[in-house]
Amino acid sequence: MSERAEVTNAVSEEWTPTIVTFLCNWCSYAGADLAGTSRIQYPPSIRVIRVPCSGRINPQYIIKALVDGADGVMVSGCHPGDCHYLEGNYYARRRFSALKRLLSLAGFHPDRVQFTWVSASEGARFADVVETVTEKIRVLGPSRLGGRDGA
Amino acid sequence: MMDYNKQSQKLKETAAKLLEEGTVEAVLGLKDNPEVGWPTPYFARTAGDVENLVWNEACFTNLANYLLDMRDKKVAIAAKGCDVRSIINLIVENQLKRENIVIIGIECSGMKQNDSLAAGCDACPSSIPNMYDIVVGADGSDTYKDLEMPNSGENVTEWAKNTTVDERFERFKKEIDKCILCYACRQACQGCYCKACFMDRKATPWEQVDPDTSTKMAFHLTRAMHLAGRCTDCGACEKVCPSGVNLKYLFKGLSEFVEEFYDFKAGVDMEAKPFANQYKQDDQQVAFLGGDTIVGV
Repeated sequence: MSERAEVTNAVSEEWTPTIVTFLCNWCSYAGADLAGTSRIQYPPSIRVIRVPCSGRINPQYIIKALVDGADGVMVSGCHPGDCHYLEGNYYARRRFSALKRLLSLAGFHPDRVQFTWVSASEGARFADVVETVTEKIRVLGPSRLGGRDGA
Repeated sequence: MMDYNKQSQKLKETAAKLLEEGTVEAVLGLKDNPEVGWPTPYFARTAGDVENLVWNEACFTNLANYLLDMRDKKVAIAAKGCDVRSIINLIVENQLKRENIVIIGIECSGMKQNDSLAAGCDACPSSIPNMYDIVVGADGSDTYKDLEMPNSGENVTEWAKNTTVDERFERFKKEIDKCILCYACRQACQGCYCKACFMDRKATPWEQVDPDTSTKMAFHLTRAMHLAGRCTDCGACEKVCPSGVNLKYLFKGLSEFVEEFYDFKAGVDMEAKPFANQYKQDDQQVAFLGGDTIVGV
């Protein structure tokens, strides 16, 4: 399969995608906060939604964001074994794996949905992750489902 | 090979016996329905009702759903392989109790709808149900014949490996465009037994949700996600669809994924724990940034 199959138009260098980002309160949100207080620069592409736990994220939220025109979705939680609620991210891991396969089968580019783990002390890693994810989605171009019923 | 008359005869005899003995309160089967064009679900409550039961090549309806209406009563069910897989799934999810159900396992080598093989039958693994109390063989006898199955089902994972994202999106979009958001697939599905569906929670009694593309996509994708590792591949969704939407491949693809990575298959083992209700600390991180990816499928 061609990695760049979804790219139809040349994307301008300036364009930044809109990435709906779910961060868990205890690790990733604190990690993002640390990136901010440490003045680490990263692309202004993410729109953060704070959730109690990555296990709290209903797959429907991710699907809804994508079909309503988000260019990408990023989800980040505590590293496996570090969950504030002990096992939330273990359940989330199974769920997200299945979700990514489903979206891929339905023709959403797998790079548009990104899952990762960032802990509260990994401010630099958070910036790194945002940069990587933004670049991956930027080369795919804007979502073809932009706006309601715009498909 | 298949002798529907003899199977029908055996089914009626068995049902009458169960009802006369008082072993069960009702026998769930199918009854001819000229208005609809194929047999529809029917509860036989007395030995006299038994004459209404039919069994023929158009009995493709999945009856497992209807057991939920008689949750706490003892009921016998005329069940094919797909019904039994669904019953096992419902038992695993604590919706039914095994001791309340008498399964009349009817051997089936595939049903017909509109003169062609009914949806789901092409991928059916065996003519013998996974679980049964009373045997009705292909020729109406007490033994199963283990008939040869069509086995021409699509391997969705293979298909996905050989297509681009764009081609997959086109197929999805084509099916979505046909959908009129009537929810027939949801109503027919054994796994969709929620009292309040996420789609109904959005709607008010005087205004339904808009059947626009994004809503339809959200409905079908979320439903597929809810059925990850729970779909028993009975094909009920496809059989009831008035506009011929065929999104069963999404469900099938997810089942293949769950089986491959988490070693779980719905409708096989009554003692199994649902796939999303458990985890292993060493589960593969198949979808994660930097981990092994499933990009390409």
